[in-house]
Amino acid sequence: MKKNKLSSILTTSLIVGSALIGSNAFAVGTDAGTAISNTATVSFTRGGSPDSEEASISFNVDEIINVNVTAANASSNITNGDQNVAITYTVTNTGNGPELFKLFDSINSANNGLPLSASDLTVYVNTSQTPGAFNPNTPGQIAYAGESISINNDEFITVYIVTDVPNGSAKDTKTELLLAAVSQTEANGVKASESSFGTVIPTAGEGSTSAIIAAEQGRNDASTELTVTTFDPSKSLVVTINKTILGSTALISNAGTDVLTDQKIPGSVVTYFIKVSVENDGATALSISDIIPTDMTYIANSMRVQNAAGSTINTPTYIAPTLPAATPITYSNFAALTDAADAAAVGGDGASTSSNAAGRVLSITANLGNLAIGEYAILLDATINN
Amino acid sequence: MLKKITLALSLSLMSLAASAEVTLTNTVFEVVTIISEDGSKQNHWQQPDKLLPGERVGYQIEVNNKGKEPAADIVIANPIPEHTIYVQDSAKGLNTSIEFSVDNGKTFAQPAELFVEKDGKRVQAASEDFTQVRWKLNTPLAAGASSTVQYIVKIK
Repeated sequence: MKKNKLSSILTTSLIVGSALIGSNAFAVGTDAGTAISNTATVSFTRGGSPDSEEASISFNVDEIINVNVTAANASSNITNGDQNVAITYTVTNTGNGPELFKLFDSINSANNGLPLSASDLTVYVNTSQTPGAFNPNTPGQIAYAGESISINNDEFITVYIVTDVPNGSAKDTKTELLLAAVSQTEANGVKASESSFGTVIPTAGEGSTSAIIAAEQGRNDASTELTVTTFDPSKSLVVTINKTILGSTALISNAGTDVLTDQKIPGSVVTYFIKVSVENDGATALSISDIIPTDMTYIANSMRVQNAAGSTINTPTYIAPTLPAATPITYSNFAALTDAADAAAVGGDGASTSSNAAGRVLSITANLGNLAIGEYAILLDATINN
Repeated sequence: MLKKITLALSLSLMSLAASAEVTLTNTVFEVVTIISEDGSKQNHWQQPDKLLPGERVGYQIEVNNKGKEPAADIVIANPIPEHTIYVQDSAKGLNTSIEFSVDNGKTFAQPAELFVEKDGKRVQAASEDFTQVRWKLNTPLAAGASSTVQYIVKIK
């Protein structure tokens, strides 16, 4: 009709689409696929007699693909060591047809002070239109496993990202969690998730109507920032070390008669028991060092270690070494370490000694590396100098 | 989408060809706003690309007298389609008087004379209350002549 006249305007002007496609508000629109039919009638008289004609035309309403993700709270206050902290998001289908969406949870790597890792997060979905607070035992509140979820137009689902706050998270540290919902619509190789705003995907809509992307890349996301506002010291990492003498043995010889004594006299072989407890949180790069007293001599290769990650260590029962050889005793659950300098990280046992120029061992070190919550112990022997 | 409209059109055209000498055609357009460089806005009627809630749809109705004698008392009536709202002041037609109905075509009048009941009160009808639009041609349509009327609705 006015096409020819208007084509000249087209070259120097901008066509504006509908106002609605630009907004991210609820689409309270006619359902996609709805047929809109129009029948016009003309009545007239000709040669004095009345007559009439009809003309009908129909089209189907196309589909808007739009989604809105909101976080219940832009920020959330937490305490170190909190368990099952649930961050609530709402995913609303603001298009005009039922739509399949996938959910993607993530951590803002530039804002992850707690820190958390992807494996710390579990996503739950509640499809109820009257959802309550997060409770994994509520029927319909299911752990999300990457499936596509159908949401009717103008309906929503509630999504919870659930995590434990590390015991060691310091006060005022923050981590930002994001939830994205992405349309799964595609037709003839064109995916909503790869389409820019305003893209028309033919036949992808309800009833094979066209689908129009009203959310860039068919997606929307929202984030919540967790902040440790309360620090509970009882939940943070505690490392304690305790050193005791397990026992000592000396050999007194007189005219061919040997007597063993547990008195600490020159020549006594003393066995030390050093225990480290790691509580509430894992410890990184933990090493145990001990200075050999001035009047004592470290017995070479006498370091023995026990690793009880997730468990406890009882003080072993003292076993007297055979004198005068004083070979270090093998204790149950303890593994021998060698004094040669080597790093645990490259396959060594992490034990080493430090000697002075004269060859006297001044100190020993057992580098145990990264330790989970639990108890760790070493034994070592030294002789009281004559 | 486009295919469906074409199909509907051709069906109606076929049925017309087989009947009277006065024919009626009904064509649907997508109406978009064009902003010119000087900032002025104009409606552009184009072939439908996508028809979405909130968008405007234009109907162009053409009456064509293919007979050998004039047709008189021509009235074109069109119910506002379901799921749509009449766009104010969009009905046009040369040498016609345009009237609207708010009671599904029982009575017609000028917009200023149309009233509806809202919350128990009788108030002036708004364009969303219109149920029908009607064009009365002021002069008979001569043999071989045609006349076109149009109006715009917004998809709910």
